Amino acid sequence: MTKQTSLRQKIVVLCTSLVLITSIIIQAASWWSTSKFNKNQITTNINHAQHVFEQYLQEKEKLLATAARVLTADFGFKQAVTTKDADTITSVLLNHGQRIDADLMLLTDLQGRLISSSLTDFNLDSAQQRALKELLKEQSKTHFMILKNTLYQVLALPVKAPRPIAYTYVGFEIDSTVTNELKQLTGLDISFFSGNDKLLVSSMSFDQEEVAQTHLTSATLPWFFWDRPAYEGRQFEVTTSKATPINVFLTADLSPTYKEYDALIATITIIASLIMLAAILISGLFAKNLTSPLLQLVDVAKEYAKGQYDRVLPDKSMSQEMNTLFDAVSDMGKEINTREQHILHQARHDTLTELFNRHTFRQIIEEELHQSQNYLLIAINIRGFSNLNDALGIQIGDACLKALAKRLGNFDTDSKHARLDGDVFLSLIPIVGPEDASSSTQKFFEHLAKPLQLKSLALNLKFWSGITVYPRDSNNDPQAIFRRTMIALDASEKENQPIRYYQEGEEEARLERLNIVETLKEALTLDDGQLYMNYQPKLNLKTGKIDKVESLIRWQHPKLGFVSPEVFISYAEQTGIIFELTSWVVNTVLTQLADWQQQGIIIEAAINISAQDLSHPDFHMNLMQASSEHNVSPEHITLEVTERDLMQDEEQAVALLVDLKKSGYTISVDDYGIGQSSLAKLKQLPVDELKIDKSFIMELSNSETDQIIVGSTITLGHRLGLSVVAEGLENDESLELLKSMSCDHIQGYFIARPMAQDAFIDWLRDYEQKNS
Amino acid sequence: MFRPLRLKIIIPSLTLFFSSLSFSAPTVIQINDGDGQPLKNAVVEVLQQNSSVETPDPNPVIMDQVNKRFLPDLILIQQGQSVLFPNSDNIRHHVYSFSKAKQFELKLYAGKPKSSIPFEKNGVVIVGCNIHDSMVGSIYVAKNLAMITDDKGQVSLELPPTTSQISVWHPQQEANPEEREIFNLTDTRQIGGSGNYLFSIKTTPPPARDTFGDSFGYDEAN
Repeated sequence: MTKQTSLRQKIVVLCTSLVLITSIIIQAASWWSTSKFNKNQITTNINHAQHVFEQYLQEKEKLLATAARVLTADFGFKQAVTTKDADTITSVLLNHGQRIDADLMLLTDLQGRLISSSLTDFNLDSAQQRALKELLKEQSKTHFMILKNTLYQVLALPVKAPRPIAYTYVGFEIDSTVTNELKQLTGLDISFFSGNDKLLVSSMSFDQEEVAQTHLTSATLPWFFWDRPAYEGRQFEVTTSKATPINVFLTADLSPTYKEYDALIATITIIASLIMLAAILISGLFAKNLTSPLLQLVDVAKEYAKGQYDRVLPDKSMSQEMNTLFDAVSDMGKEINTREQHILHQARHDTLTELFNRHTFRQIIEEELHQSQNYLLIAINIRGFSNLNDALGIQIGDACLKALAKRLGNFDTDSKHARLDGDVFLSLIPIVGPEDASSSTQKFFEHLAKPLQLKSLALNLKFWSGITVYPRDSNNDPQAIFRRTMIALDASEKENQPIRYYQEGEEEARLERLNIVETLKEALTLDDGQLYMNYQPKLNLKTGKIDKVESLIRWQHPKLGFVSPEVFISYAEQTGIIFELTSWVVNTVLTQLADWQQQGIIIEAAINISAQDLSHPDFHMNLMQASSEHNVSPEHITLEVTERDLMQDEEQAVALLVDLKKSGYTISVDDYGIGQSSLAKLKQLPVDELKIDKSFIMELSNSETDQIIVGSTITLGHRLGLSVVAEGLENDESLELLKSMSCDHIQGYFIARPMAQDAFIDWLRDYEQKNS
Repeated sequence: MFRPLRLKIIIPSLTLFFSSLSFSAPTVIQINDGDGQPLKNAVVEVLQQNSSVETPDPNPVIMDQVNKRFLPDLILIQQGQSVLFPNSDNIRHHVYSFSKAKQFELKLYAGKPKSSIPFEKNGVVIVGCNIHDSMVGSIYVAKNLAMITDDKGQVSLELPPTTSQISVWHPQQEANPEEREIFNLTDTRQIGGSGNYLFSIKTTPPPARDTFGDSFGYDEAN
């Protein structure tokens, strides 16, 4: 994870670097302008100094020229020169030289030979002679000359009498007095060097004895990591003999400038450091002021995340933006809290009735029920609510549910109520003990008994109800009490008991049923012979032949043993696997029929189907496919539907029956006579056959009433064009009666019990032999 | 071309001197300056071992001083002749010479000096005025036959047959003002007809008059 810098650090770094950059720029700018200023100043000084120096030389030259001219014009001097007496001439040179403060006096003849000199033991060499002759070309102009290691400013003048008879050279020595005077005038040091780089004279004092010109141009002073030039200066030549050039250096000693500049830099550095320190402190303080509310906000946000919205934000005097942010966060907290409460309420309550919802109520049961307290749980289901909805509309239905919820809410303050789904409500009512259950229940239903007033409509509702007592019926499991209450409610409707208490062991039975269903699914999947078909022959009374069988499913489970078809078919219907079961039956029976057909046994088979099969969209298609697959004509298949299933009269089921009949299948009404159907209604259905319930047939010979019913039913069936089957035939008398009533087919133990296919074939052969 | 000298040179005895030598055809000697231009006012002297010159004129030659100038500023005299230096200016002059041939000094005076100055030695004598530096005069004291070149830079001389050398001098010559340049007639090339000679000497322009008073007082029309 990368390290994140904090806002505080960033602010401090920003401020500090701004100050740093600013001070560096100021440093650089001041260094630049100062050094530029200094440079200009020095250049100006040097220009000035050079000018002064040249002026000085000119003045000196003029002075010298004037003085020398006066001197050479002196008649006595001329006279002395013409004497040719060396001593006289020397003395006059010294004498007249002193008059004009000249340091050097020379006298040469017109050929340049030295006649006399103010210097002792002095002779001109040839170079000096040439240099002196050069001087003659520009009389009254001075040259610098080195004579006996001393620098002179020399002027030449002829001695005229009146034609030139000799030349006089007058010179002033350039010594340290002169250079110091020049330094006073110019403010700069001045140094004279000979052509062979020998220092002649200087206003500067040097440590070393031998000083070269390069010292002045390249001497440096160490400064931190580099060197600075020690001098700034200018070199130029003064008029002299070409053979012996003399360089003059005007130099400014830079160290005072450096000293000032260094002091300036030091001051700026100190000021910048102080500002930087202040910037760090101030920006740190500022950043702290900025970030500490943010940290507080972080704390608040964390509390909000935990669902704690009651944190009061500090009402500090902060910046406007911070206050706004704090207000916004505070408002956000309130808003979230409100919304959370709202969502929580919605999550816990039924939106229509505002009662608790199923999920919440389960939680309440789990969390709030105490062993020490007895409770009554009553689940109610409005009887015929779907009819009410259909008749009066969903809006009235909803209003009814709301009114009922309100009524429940008014029952008593300790009770809690929930709407589970649709028209199912559940109430949790504290009671003192199990013995109070019935009185409380009575009170509860009395409370609900009063009609519900919906605007102008008064509704008298009746309920199915399932009731449990906690903890008696709980099996130490709060969830169980919920389940068991619902089981009781289911039973209430099934058993047509408006008030149905949970009965001990009920849930276990239900669980067993579920177990059986699971095992049945397994058996269907395995198809290993656990499930098999039995066939019960039907005797055609007109032909005296067995031309039909009813196929009946049987289940011999390896562990459970024989399971009653009524039980597992009923469970299959309840759990919705009846379709799979019927498919298996259809396949098995068609396989069997095809097998028999191959053996030359032509026989029709009846298959029982349930109402759920009829409402299944794939049933017809699957049946057709199976028929064609096994090459069994639909004419050989009779579909037996119970009267009760048939009378449910769902449009889809009726349409399917019409289609099935069109496809050639025979439709038979099973268990006819015990339901509530009328023959008139049957007439409208695509039915081919009536199968009179065995309850009319079993005691037929002993009951006149049954005889009347069976006889008239057969007659009516025939009249309506239906064939009639009687099942449950037990004795010969009844057989004879049915024959007399012109019944078409008979079925029962008197003919044969249902048999496995092998036994049936044996039985059939045997029967046909007997009756042939 | 610079023509520095516009001075009238009056040599009264010269005509007489030439007529006495007219027994043979005169030789023309041409003197040019360094630029090849004819050089006027050059003094040509014939050098002879045994001089047979007549006794010098006892009358002094006049070198006047007018407008702070010697007038004439060049005179040619024979050895032994005298020169008188009258002062025609209304200021005093201090005439002197430090030349080898003659040193003398006439201290500040006005009008005519008491006596003339005799020139016993031959040679060139440069005279000046101690208080007027611009005043320069030249006196050529000849031992032998000598003559000043005319405007064409020529002299016509009756050269004695033994003559082998001549000397040439000019007031503005580059060489020492008191020295004369000697030429051998045998090794110089001739010009024109036989006996005509050409010699050159280098000159420098005369120095400008360098005092305010000198230039102010000088009248160029004279």
